[in-house]
Amino acid sequence: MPEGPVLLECRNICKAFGQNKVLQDINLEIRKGEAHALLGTNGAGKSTLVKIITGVYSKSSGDILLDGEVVDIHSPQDSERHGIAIIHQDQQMVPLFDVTRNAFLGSEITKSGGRLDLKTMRKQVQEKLEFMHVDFTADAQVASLTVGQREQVAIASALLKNPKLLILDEPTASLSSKEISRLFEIINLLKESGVTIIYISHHLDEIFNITERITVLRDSRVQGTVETKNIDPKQIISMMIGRELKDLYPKEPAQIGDVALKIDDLYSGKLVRGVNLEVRRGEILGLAGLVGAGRTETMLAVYGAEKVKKGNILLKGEPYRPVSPKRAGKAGIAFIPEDRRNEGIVPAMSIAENLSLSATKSWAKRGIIRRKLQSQGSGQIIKSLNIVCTGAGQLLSELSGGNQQKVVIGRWLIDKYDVFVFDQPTTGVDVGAKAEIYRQMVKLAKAGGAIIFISSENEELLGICDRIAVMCKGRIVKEFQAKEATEQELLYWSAGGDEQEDGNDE
Amino acid sequence: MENKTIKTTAFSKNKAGEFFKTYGAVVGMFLLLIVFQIFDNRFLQPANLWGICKNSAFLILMALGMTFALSVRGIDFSIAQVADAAAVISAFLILKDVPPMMALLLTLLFGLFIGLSNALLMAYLGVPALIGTLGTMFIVRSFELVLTNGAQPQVLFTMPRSVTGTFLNIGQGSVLGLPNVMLIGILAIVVIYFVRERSVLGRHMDAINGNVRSAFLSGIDIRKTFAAAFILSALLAAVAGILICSRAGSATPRATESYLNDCFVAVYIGTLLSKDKRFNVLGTVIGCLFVGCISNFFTLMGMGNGIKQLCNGFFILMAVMMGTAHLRKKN
Amino acid sequence: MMNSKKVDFRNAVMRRSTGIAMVAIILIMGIRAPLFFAPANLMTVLKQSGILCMTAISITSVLIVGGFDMGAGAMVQLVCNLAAGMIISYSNPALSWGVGIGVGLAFGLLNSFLVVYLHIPTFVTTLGTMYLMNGLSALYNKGTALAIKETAGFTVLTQGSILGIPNIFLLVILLCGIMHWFFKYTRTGLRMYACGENRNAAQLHGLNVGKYLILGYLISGTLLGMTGVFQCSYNYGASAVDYGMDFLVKALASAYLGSTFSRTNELSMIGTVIAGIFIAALSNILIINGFSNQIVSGVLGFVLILSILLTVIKKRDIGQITIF
Repeated sequence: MPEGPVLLECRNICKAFGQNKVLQDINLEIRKGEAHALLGTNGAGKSTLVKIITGVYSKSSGDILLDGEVVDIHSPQDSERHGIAIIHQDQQMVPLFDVTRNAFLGSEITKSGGRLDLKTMRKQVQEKLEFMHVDFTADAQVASLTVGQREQVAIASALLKNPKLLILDEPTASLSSKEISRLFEIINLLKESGVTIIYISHHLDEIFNITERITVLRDSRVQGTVETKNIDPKQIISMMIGRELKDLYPKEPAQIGDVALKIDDLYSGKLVRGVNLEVRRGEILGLAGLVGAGRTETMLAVYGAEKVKKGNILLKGEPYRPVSPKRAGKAGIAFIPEDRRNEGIVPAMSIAENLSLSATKSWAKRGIIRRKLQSQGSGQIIKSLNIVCTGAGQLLSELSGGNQQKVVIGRWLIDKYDVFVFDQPTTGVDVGAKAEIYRQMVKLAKAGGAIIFISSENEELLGICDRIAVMCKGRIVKEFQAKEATEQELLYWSAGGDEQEDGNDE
Repeated sequence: MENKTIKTTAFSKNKAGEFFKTYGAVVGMFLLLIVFQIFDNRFLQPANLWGICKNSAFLILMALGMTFALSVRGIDFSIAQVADAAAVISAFLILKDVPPMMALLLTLLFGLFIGLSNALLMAYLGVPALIGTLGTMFIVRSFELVLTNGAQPQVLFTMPRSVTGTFLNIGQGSVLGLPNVMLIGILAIVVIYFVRERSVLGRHMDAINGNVRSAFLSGIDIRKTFAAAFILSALLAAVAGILICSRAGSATPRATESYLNDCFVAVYIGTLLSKDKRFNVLGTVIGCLFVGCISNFFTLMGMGNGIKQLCNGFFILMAVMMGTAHLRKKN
Repeated sequence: MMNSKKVDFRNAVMRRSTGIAMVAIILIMGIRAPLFFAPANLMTVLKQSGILCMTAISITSVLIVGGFDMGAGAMVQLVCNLAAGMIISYSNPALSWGVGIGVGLAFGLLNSFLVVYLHIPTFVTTLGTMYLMNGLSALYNKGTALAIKETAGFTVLTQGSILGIPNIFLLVILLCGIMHWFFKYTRTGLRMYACGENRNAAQLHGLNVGKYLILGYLISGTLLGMTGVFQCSYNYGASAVDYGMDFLVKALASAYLGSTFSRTNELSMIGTVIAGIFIAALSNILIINGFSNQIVSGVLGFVLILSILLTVIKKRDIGQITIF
């Protein structure tokens, strides 16, 4: 790839939300006709940067230059006018429309009187589809297309505006490997025709496959831009991490006991494809992996909240079939969901009421909730978890994120459970609450519980777990004793490791 | 320290506003009642008010059923129709020489059956409650019309008292000067208050209302809870129907249908009486009494159905407007 | 691969099942009462389906944008009363049309204002305005029927026929054609569909969902106003019986049943009209078969539940409850 002229340049871009600086002095050059990867761990600032380039957020300071000239981008429309298009991770389409109508939604070509000029639109879409060599026509109904094909529709839709720069935001998150290779062919075609591409992905194999240069972001700053061919995955990973482990983990050795939960060849939905896993009493098992690797989905299936397609599960040595969360709870599985706001709390209820949801009966006699039992029980939990509040009657919507999370955990302390699943409990939680959550996990493990701890922050996994399993594309690809693992290795395996595509996808 | 004092003064200043926000609706209702009294001085006579309380029992039963359905974010359009059918069926069975107690039991079974079928449709098959109960309403209506051969009134009071005595006594008798209807109403309010506000089931309903996904993931059987709301509402409607029939000594098909309108008005007004504008038992009861007062006033003034319907619409819209405005300000 | 083919097959059967079932029901019932297939009777069915189809078309246009309307039937009744009153007092059909469409627009505006600007859920909003309309109807006709006489250029619209085909049915076809064209082949129609089908996608593509919701209520208000005037013409005035709920249920059943023709449960004008005619035919054939009028309403309720069941049963998943 010859060094082309610079298409997009970011100069000293800063962005802050209140006191929180999410981007600091970002300098970035995207050359014409290249595919440029943006890489960084969660919260490094990638998506904020993209949102500034596409006009969703406005920058606090700095300049954006297109073809050497400073441009003002204040809205998505502005960015579109300047020839910047983005393909979102989550394809939002109208399933009952055909490809043409979907591709043109919001910028339809019309004849006089607002009539749709379907003929022209169809022709233009068909042109783009043929350019991409896809296997469907502009008349196909989107409801009948696969996820991969829908993504192709989204690309065609973006191409209709003849963009100079196309941003792909984690485009492969829900694609099969076949569909991914199709996508890469299309990206190569685009590059040949002179479209510049910014490619955002966690998967290193993809980045090494199709990009020319890589920019790594870390802690809201640019760590550097490198030529892809001059670097190897391990070096990239150390650019992404570069932190020392801090000692805020209250790890204490616990008595490791029998196998509490054993999952054998579990299949569920599209994201869980043959998971094998076991966890023992007293053990904290970390589940590492990238977003979309299938970790949450695996545990939701075990918890009975998603349908299990295939697979065996042994719970405390007995065969166990997930039916519903209620049964799972009775069988001894506790689950702290990932999305606290939408899946964990009931904001309009008080702390005591929220605490009571999983084990309401323990505080009731003959179906009527006893105020005394409730106030005693909730008082104890508030105290033992250090929930900061005005009292058990305070509404959950008035608590801070960390304290809300503690309430969700507290729900499972009323009765006794054997297996505890913590799905990313520390996201958006302050340091104090984090420490409290770790302490709680250690305490539960010491009391004989088996803990499964899903986290995308490898640092905390290394700090608190006994053992770490790495998941990628629906399978466990590697297991470590936590003492022997490093953050580099976890990231390396999460991003696909050295395992090449095995072409086993349907 | 300084900070604290500022906070408290600000609080006391807001107190009046806070009070008005929470109980403004009650104040408004009282003002309206006083206006009624000015228009017609028979209105606030004790005897008149007593009559209103007595007559509100039926509506209270149905509206409490509706409160159940609405507080799991469902709705039950069939409620008044089930009451109507229950009245007709009980009268019909007694006329067919079924022993009164047996007839009563069979009518309750009918209510249970409708409740179960509603529950199956909404909670287990996933039919939207709005459409499903509307369908049930029409099916039940059709059923009772066919049963009575085209809306023939089922008249019980012409039968010998020896046969119908026990049955009619339920609605017409009294204990220690308190009419049975009222006693049953009070009993229902107490029991339902406990079920709705204090029981495990009620807690689970609150959770579903607040966040279905959270409720599901915390291990609540959301389908069963949803189903329970529909079963309870149909059963309450059946009880109301039996009382109406026994009170009047006769049942005319489609005579009770208009209770549906009053139900809606009562429950939506009831939301204004809770702090966070939720459907609640005590609010519903007060809403029912208020609706009773309005109906009574209109009857006293000789105003027709038109004004009443206009008021229904007005009250529902006002109540919901105030509710949403309050919630939006809070967020 | 195998799996997807199986699903396709199931879908194909499901898509056609509505049509197959409709034809089967009519045939079976028709064999018992051959009178049904007499051309004159078939034309009567088309005539009877007219007002229902128009109401259903109106309600479909608000369902398409993702709204709801409890008051569709009540609006038809209100306008019908007003139109009859105008004819009786001034014997002027033009005035009826003006008042009818004006009232329809006014309530459309009120509904959309409450929904879009005050953020009241569509169901409660339209429930409230339904009572307002019922009240106005009752106040206006004072509980009595308003009968009109044969009026030149007015009653013939729905009573007459051209070449044996009832005028009102031709009007339905015309209206259906226009609305179908509007929703399928104009920019505004396309965007309204998008708002109702996938609100997020619409917003992502920069569409102002509120604006299209307002438009939906205005269109459906106007159409309901017109339907009310037609109802007045068809009925020779307005009856005092409250039939708003019956109209609503029939119209909803038509719209949802019509949507089951498509694999994706797409609401469509043509589907709605076909389903509307089916419902009218079903009522007719039941009566011919000697079932009483009272059974018909029960069958309607059953059809309503069945049609919505067909649309939701595919979407069911663990832990999912459809609310409203």
